[in-house]
Amino acid sequence: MKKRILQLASIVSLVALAIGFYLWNKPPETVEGNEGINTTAASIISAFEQDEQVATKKYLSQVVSVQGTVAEISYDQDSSVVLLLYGTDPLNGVQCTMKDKNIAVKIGSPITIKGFCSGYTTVVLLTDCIIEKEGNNS
Amino acid sequence: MIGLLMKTFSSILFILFLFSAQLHAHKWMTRMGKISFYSSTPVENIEAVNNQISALLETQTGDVAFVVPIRGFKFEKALMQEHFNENYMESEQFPKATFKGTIVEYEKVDFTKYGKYIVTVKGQLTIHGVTKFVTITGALQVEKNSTTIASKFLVKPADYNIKIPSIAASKIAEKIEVTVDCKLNPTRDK
Repeated sequence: MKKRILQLASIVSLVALAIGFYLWNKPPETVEGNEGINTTAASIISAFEQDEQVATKKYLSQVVSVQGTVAEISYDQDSSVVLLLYGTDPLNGVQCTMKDKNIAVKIGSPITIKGFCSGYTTVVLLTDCIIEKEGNNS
Repeated sequence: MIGLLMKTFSSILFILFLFSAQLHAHKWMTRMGKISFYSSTPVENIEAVNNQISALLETQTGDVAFVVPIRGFKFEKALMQEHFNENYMESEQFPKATFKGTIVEYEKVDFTKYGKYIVTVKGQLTIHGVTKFVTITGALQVEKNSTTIASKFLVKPADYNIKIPSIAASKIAEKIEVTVDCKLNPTRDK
């Protein structure tokens, strides 16, 4: 009897340890394989501009797939590629920090980008982005 | 004759003034500034980096403003990032931290002269929905096409009503070191 309890206890603690180890080393979530919320640059921007709280509830930390046009290509201070999609006026836009450092896109090209929404400053922010579709969306 | 000379002279001055006003932008900004923080305890060190900071500097008034999207902080471990957002910063409820302040004696900074200026900034720091008046020292590196704002300061989570459960208390420092490194570019708008 005592042996059974000891056996059971050791199995339970091993499982707990394994779960703990898995959780501790859990890799970051990726956008691949996650369909996400489909939207356009103009509509996600106006959602944040009209009611930031509502838009935050809907989009923050969610996977979002945004259809737009490349307005700017730049690098952040850690040399990640950052694409800006045209907004509804010259001061706004959707700023996408790309996961991949080698990106070949042109200013003015239509594009669909998928990433995690990390909020809104003066632009809508997406991180860990991938290019879902290049060229015209039909 | 002297009157005419004076007139010409003052109009030249006026033109020069207009010219210099156009050459030097008054607003410098970035949407890709960098802020990181570091928590050090004997149990573990925790570090996170955010490259999505919006920062604005007005050279005429010395006003500075920062907007920090909390979800933009990236950690080494996914679990740390999850705890940071869900348990400590409650980023769904408080998605941004902000700082609004003014450089003390900003007239001492000559934005036409390249170099490093040590400055003190006073203003309001809002984290986790709690606003505090703070005084922070930092440096401005003025260059031809950029001005970099750099600073290192300590933030006490308890001051901003960030509750750390006793089980995690040994892993999270009482004071978190925040490092600001934002490279601003002149804006074209007048």
